[in-house]
Amino acid sequence: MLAMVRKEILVLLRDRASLITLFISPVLFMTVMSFALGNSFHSLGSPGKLSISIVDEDHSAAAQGVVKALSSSGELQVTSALGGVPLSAAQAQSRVHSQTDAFTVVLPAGFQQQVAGGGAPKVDFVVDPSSSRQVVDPVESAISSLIVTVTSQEGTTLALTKLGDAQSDPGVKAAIQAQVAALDSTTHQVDSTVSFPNGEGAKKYPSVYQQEVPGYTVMYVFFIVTIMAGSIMVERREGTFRRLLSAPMPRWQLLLGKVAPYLLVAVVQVGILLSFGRFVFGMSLGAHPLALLPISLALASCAVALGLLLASVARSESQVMGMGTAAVLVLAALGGCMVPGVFMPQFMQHITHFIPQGIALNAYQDVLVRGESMTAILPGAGILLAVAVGMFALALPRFRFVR
Amino acid sequence: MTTNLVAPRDVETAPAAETEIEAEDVLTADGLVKKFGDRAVVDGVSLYVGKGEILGFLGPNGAGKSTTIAMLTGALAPDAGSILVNGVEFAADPMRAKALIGVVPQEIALYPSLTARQNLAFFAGAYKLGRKVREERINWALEVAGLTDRAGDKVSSYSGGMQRRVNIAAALLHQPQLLFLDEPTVGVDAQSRNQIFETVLKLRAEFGMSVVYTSHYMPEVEQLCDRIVIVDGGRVLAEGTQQELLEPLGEGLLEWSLNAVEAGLLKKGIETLAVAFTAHGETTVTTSGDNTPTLRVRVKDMPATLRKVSDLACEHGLGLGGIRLGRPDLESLFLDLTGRQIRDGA
Repeated sequence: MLAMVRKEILVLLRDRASLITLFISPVLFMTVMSFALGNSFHSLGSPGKLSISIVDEDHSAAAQGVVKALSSSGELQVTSALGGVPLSAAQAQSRVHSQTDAFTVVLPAGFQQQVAGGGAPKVDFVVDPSSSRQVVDPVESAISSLIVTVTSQEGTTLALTKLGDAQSDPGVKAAIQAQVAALDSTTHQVDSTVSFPNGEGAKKYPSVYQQEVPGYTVMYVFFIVTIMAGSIMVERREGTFRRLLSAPMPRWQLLLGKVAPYLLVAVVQVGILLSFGRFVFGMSLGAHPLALLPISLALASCAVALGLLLASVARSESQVMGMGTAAVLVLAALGGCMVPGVFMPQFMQHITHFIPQGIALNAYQDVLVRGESMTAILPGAGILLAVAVGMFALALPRFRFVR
Repeated sequence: MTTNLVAPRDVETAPAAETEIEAEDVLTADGLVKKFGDRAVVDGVSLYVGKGEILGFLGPNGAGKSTTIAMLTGALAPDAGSILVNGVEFAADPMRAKALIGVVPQEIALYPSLTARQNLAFFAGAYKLGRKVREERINWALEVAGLTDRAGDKVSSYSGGMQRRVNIAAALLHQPQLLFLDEPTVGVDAQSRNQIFETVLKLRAEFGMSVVYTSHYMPEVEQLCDRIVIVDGGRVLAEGTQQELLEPLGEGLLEWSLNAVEAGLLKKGIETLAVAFTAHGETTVTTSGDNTPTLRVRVKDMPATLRKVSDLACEHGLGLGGIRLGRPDLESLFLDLTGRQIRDGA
């Protein structure tokens, strides 16, 4: 059996396409995606900010109050003028179209009048059609909320000013003017902080790499499914299995010798990818990095079991490629490896909890970003192992060395 | 491959191969049956291979050859029947039985990204050869294959003939008592084919190795094999030495094909000629074909048959252009047994 393991590793090491798929591709992918998504994740406590523009068509104190409030919020990169000239609606739309800004807020003429009249002021948002509603809706809601706060204040100021101007008693008039001045000096900034649920060990908001690296690691570990199943199909086609069946070696040894190297490679792959995150990106491995080991072993077992199951049901190498690639990508998507779970519809978030990739990703994030210990991740690792055993049990009765 | 085939035998040989009690026949298979679903691909095949004998195992594609070989080599379990390898019951002790046989599959069953030496080392490990004897056997097998100088090259860089030779060498490492060669010359040139033949004959001469040689190339089997088993439809059609098999065919086979004009000259068709030959005493006369009616005659006495042909041609005004005479060979035997060419397939 050791000879089988040694041979399999030698063959795998010489298969450049497989090595690229398993090691180079995920490193490139996670690097590119980390940089690409960096702007989104950096919005909390990081340099990157969502870029918006604001158009003031009312040129009023109330509208200026909103511009000032948005500009000083600290969470947004706000553009309201170019070269000292206020932004026009056409310029703002052009910036959205060219994706310079995520969207534009337009405060139309009559804005202050609507505020003073006590009605709901009209505000227009201009958004690029490609923007996901799951991103736009919360941001729109937050900005609207800010505008409501500012305009309520502006409305109160306007009413008090009007009331003060009408007073004949200098004492009362002075008191009202002092109240208006106090309102004017009130800051619109919100002193916000980010905190985490009680009991979780995270000390600061996770870096983009802690968000991205485990997702792509989990996704790419499963690429061993097609590589392993493909290798089994080649052994069937080339007659090497037939030859080995005539050797004095029990079939279980032959199978174990074939499968074990892929288990080893998958674990090594996880190690390399997490190490890449740690040493190249400076990603933290959490407070209990040893807890990553059982997850990685269980994850690798799952991937190898799926590979064996695929090799047991597929009839040809093209079926392996087709079924394998589809399964790996679909399961990765359902498991939340490509898109963070919070952006998924509710029913898909539920599905994620039943997908091996989702279970593994959640367990990795427990360690990496939630600071959990070995005890906390053992149930997840146990479920993954149970899934692996289940898939082995399905595969073994169907597995054939020769067809 | 004009190499000395004397192999290192003094140390650490695979235990089962050395400790077996010598049996009269190296292989005895009795009543082998293998069904896939309701279809019996092998249906009661029995055969034996004597010590030092080269047995030709012949049949068209789909005849059940590969399935039979798969059962004889342990790749498939038979649904019925028994297999004895040098007295070891295969079903009872497959590991001991397998240690006695070597298999050269029809495919180039090697790992192309590994070198020849790495391939041989892997297969030597599969036969549990110890470290020291493993190195000696690998060097010997490379010498047999004539590839010592290129042992460090990847198999993928070899020519088809060289790959075939490594394919055979990998089956020799444990020095089996019985070697299965499944279509070993597919896709090789004449020179490599001759080298393979030479190796097989030397292995038999040097070690008394028995060989089961599977092929559907009749001339190869005629040239190499001591005894021949012909299978079709999962059954043994004939078995014996070449001489025994061809004897019933007489001195040869005569085929007489008529063109449309000639066929029109015979009132009762080609049956007219068949009746005449049957009356003449030829053993088997068959007719076939609608567009080109053809008569096949086993010839017992060639001069007398040719005189009969001449008489019939004159009598009916037929030409002699459609007449072919063949020496009795395995191809004509198979044709005689099944009514079709061996390369026609099942």
